[in-house]
Amino acid sequence: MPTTFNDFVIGILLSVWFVLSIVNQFSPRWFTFIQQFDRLGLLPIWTFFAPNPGQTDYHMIYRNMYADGSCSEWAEVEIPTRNGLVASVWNPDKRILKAISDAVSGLIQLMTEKRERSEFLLSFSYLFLLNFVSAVNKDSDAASRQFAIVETRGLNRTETPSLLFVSEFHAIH
Amino acid sequence: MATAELVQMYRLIIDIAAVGLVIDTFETLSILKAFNRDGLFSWQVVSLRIGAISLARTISRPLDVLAAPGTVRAICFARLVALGLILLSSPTTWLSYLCALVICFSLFFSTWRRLLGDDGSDQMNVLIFATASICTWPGTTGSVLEMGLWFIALQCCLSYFAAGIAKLLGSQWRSGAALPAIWDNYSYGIEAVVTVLKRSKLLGFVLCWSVILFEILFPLCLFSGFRVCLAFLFTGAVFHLSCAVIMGLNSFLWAFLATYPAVFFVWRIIHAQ
Repeated sequence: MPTTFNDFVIGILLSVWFVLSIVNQFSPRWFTFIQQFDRLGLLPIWTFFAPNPGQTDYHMIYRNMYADGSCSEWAEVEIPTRNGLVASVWNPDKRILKAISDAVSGLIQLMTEKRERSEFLLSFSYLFLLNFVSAVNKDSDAASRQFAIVETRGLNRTETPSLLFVSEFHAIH
Repeated sequence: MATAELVQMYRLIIDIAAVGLVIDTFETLSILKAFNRDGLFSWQVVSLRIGAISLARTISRPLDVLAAPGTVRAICFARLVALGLILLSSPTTWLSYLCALVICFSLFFSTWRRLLGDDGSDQMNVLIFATASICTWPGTTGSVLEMGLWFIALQCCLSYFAAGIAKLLGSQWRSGAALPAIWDNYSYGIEAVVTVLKRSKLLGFVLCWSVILFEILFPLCLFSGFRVCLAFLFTGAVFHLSCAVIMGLNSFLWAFLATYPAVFFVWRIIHAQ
């Protein structure tokens, strides 16, 4: 039982924090007001791989357009893959994979909400992926670059890849 | 419970979490170029979301410096020093407390600076070191130490329970298709496991329901007998070890195991009455 004022304040603080953590699991609409202030990740959300688990791999491909209007072939951005059992101890690339996956999910979310294309092109997810793709294998002759997101299913990739999204061409210099 | 025992509990929690964070920090250092201007976590893009670009120049300029790759590296090194010292010191000493604060703020910084790419282990580490920063200052009282342990234990129970309920709501989890599907990709899969699962749909079903039931029932370990409580904690450890081996979720193992001493502490409190 709290015995001093400090104890009481800390008890209240931890209790409120825990209650907010519970509410955060449901993410009610009114709670977005509080969530927007949580830039430090104080309110956890514990819905790992649920209710609808991700079960595909995302691939980013790009092509360059040159001054004469011609385009290169599509090429795939090398996204690091997991290093087998080593990853159970050492897995730095999980951040890269998770960040790309988060950004693609953000983009898909906007697509399902049927947002205006202009709103889409200014979204954080779009700019995040554009910045990443623009920096890959720079070609000094290229004037602009377009990227696309492709989804594959299964380790054997027996199914035809699905095209999720194609960007505009963007100047890369 | 005697204060010395409470301190010992914090020591266990902090030590386990610190091992995971040492690995995590070296992992961040190994991908430091991702924080460059043309990297994945480029500040020029991340700042758009944070809103720093709309701030007055007098404010956004220091933020640019704070977010620079050099600062990220410096904060990683500061965190490594703090982790080393906290492993050598005892909770509720000034040294340990200051280290907990440094680690806590470095975790806040990482979440703020990356914006994307965080996972559940980062959330748990924040909860653990924020609790240590709130509750383990020198001269703290036994009741504050106890409240911190209750908080960590309840967050651990909430994490499993919420994850279990979310899975129960997913049709793929209920049908047993979820785990084979999650593991059948390059991000979280291993071919050998997928091959076995493809041969037996029943195995997939059993695994999915094992995870759902374990997660939903986990909070009951606080009220169960000693052996059942230990069985839950042991199952949890095996679960996280499997996730590390099969899915590469290495940081979850340390972050979640770190909360188990707090769960055991609460079990002891409940059963002492």
